Amino acid sequence: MDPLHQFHIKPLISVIVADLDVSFSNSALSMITSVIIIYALMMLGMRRRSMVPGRWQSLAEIFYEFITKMVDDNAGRAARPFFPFIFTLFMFILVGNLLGMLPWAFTFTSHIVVTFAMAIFVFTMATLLALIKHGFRFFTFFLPHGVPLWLAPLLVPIEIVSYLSRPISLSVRLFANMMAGHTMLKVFAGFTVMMGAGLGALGYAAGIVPVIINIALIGFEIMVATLQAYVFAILTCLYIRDALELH
Amino acid sequence: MVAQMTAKPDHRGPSRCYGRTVPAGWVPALTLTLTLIAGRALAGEGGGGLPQLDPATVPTQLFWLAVSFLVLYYMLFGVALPRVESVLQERDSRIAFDVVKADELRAEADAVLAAAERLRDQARSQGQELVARTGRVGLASNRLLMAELDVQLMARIKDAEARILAAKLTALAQIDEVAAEAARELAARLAGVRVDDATMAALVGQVARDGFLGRVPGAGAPQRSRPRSAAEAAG
Amino acid sequence: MDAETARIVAVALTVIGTNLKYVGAGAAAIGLAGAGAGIGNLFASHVASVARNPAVEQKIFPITMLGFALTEAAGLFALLVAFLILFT
Repeated sequence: MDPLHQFHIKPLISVIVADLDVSFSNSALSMITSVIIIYALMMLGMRRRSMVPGRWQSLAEIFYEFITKMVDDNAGRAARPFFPFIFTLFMFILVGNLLGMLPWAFTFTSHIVVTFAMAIFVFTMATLLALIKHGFRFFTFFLPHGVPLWLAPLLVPIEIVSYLSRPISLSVRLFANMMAGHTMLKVFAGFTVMMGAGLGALGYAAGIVPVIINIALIGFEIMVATLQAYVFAILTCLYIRDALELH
Repeated sequence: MVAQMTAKPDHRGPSRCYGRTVPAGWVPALTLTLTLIAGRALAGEGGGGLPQLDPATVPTQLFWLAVSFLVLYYMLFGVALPRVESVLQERDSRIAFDVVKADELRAEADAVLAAAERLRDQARSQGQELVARTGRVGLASNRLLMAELDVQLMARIKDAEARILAAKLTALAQIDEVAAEAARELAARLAGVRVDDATMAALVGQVARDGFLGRVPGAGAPQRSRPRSAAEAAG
Repeated sequence: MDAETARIVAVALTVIGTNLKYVGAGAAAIGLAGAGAGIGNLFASHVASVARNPAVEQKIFPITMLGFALTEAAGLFALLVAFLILFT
């Protein structure tokens, strides 16, 4: 009945490396499954390398062209070297989110540790990229163009805070969406059980209402799962463009 | 509400419960402290709150995230994406090649079409010229030809009419002869009478002129219009 | 105040303190109203734009979806605070 029970990480195979507990958990199982699914999709789809693509090949090509277009549109053509990274990021989050929609599956993106690790990686990468590419000029990023200089003491701290909050908002957005969605599903499912336990037969009859709401919510959650993967990828593109172009 | 009710007496002034003065602000401080203590106790009972905030699971998540993400990255970067890219490039180049080829073919077809049109125009103008010329010459010759033909035809028609007339006259002349012959034969067979040629010819000539009994005026029309009199005549 | 009263006060405050967090969680969830208003505004604008110029629908739909995700996330931050209060 605990709506947060689904987020518990249970070790399946105990692994301890250098005094750190890195057991193969249900979260790790989900991650590895996602990797296998993505790789299978890309490889099995492209197995025949046909000129006229079949169903699976079309899917693989659609993903490829979708991310290519996203990177070109939002990060510019100069960001082409980051295409494999953004592709991996998008597919990993997308499949992870969708995998979590299956019953009994674990959603690894519902853990702040995972999303924050990915967000901080993106943030560090973008910042280092900007520093390498622009050197000291990177710090002009915090003073927007066309702003009177006397506003700088006010604006620069705001910009710095806004910049530093990027990994937090990026990670919390994904994590909160996934966690809230799954908790909500569990809470509504719990209503059915509570009604059945509290009101007997009448309760079970009335319990159909939360089930119907849950069906609609599952559709909504699948949309959110896709959308959040898209948002994560597109914001990564935008951060990379900021790093490449500074404004 | 309850907090206010319980707190109210204590706000009236310095409390003297234990014989010494304590500041009036002790209630909020106590509330805060107790809340924190109770919260901690409750959190302990509840099994540690959000699973996401359990620091014990951080290493395993980070480790497996790094492993799976890197594995996925290198698999996609090294194998899958180049493959998709090569297929797409192959298709693009094939399409580009086909487009170029199609353009060439279209240009060729356009040239052929233009040549054909030119030829057609040429042929048409030639034909028109020929028609015009033939028309001018042909009109005159046609009239001449028709007149000639008319003359020829008229001559042949006249010739034919003359021949028909002659044949008719001959036939009429021969009818009496044949009739006389037939009558003589009949007379000879039926009655055993021998009639000489001259008499028979005279008789036939008379019958042909006056009818069989000398009363019937003609042969054709009266018989058809008056069958009874014809039967009487026959009787 | 004697010792007995002090004990009662302490117990009462404990009970209140441990239950006040539900009030806090509820208060934090009010923040979702803003996300609701924002999402409503977003889609109202989307519908108005498409009604004015149906040709742009393909172009602005992804932008609307991006805006939806960002707005919804802002609301979920409030919900997250509610969760943190409730379950921590």
